[in-house]
Amino acid sequence: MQRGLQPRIYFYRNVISEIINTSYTMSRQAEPATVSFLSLPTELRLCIFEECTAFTLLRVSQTCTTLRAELNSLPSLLAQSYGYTPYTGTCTKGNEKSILTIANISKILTPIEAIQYAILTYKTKISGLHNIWSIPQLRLSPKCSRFDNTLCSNCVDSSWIKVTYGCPSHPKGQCTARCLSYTGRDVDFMRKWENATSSSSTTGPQPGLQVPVLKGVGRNKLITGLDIACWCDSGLTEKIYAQVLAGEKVVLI
Amino acid sequence: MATPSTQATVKLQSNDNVVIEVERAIAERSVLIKNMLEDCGEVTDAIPISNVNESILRKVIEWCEHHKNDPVAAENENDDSRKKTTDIDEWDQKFMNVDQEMLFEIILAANFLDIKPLLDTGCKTVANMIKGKSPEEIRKLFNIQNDFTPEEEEQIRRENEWAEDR
Repeated sequence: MQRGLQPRIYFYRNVISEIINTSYTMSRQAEPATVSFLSLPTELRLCIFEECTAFTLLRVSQTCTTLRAELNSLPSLLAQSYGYTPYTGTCTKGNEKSILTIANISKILTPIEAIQYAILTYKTKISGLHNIWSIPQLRLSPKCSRFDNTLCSNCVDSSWIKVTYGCPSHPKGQCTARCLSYTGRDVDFMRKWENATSSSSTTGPQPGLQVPVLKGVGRNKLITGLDIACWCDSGLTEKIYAQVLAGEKVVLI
Repeated sequence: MATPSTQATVKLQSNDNVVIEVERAIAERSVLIKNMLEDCGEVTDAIPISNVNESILRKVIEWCEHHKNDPVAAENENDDSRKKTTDIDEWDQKFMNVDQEMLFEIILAANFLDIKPLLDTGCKTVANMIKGKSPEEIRKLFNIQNDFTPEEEEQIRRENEWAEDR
């Protein structure tokens, strides 16, 4: 009895298998032994890229020739990514207009990206000493609870970031700088808070951290401005311009 | 058109020949399986899922079980409406906390089985992994070989240096 049914079962299985593998098939390639990011089908990488900001896509395009070619062949995807702006200027120094570069970045979504952006632009200012592939020692700390507890509940569009920069002039090979990024805060409160924090420090020269100044919104001049100064008083300063959106959490990396 | 079926469960067979019985409603989170069941009517045999192995199929079923009561997105729903944010709910974050190969396998399975919300969650997870990383960190994360020539690296450096001249 069972034996008599088997051919029909196998026939039916074959029919179902046929349906799955032909009528409903997705464009999946032959399965590789191990799956990696680069072995994913292009349309799936595209799905992932759709979730990325323009700045992230820029960083991905700088990893290898395959991803650089792939991303630069997707102008509509780039145009729809957060923070992308088309280049309309005339400068062509070492640059092709169709290639995604930092000139196409007009907004940054997260504090981490803001720092990456600042480092990238900082390094290019002193090109010759650094190149874009190596990043100085960088750590982000969780939100400072002392600061966080004083925030009014409706001021959600802020983040507190602590940055450790590599600094060749510091005796220990590095110096720290505190970074505060915010919009819509009470500037007087911030100044008091900063003064209190600075005076509580007992070691090393005082950092030249300045109260953030609201910058204009425009091409590569994002919404919040901040000067960072080195604790070792080496004169190393950097500005971070970033738009930090509500709900973003600073995470340890 | 086959007669609509009232069967409560269906059997799914992974590509390593393991049969898993699952509630039909859960299996139908897969548009592929849903359409197939609608076309074929009652299916008593195990449905071969030829591109998915047992461990991935069980993970996918786990996701479908958890999300079985979620509203199903309209067939032609605008992609923009489901791609507004890279936020992932807590359960999904834990679900996606797997090794990288399994994560990619889940994405492939979600694509093959046509489970768009799972595919979105997987893609968002990978996007979040990339976010805030330098090219070198991304290479390390995905084991990507830096195959730029020194000239190409110089070209990229100049492209981005240009931004400082404005």
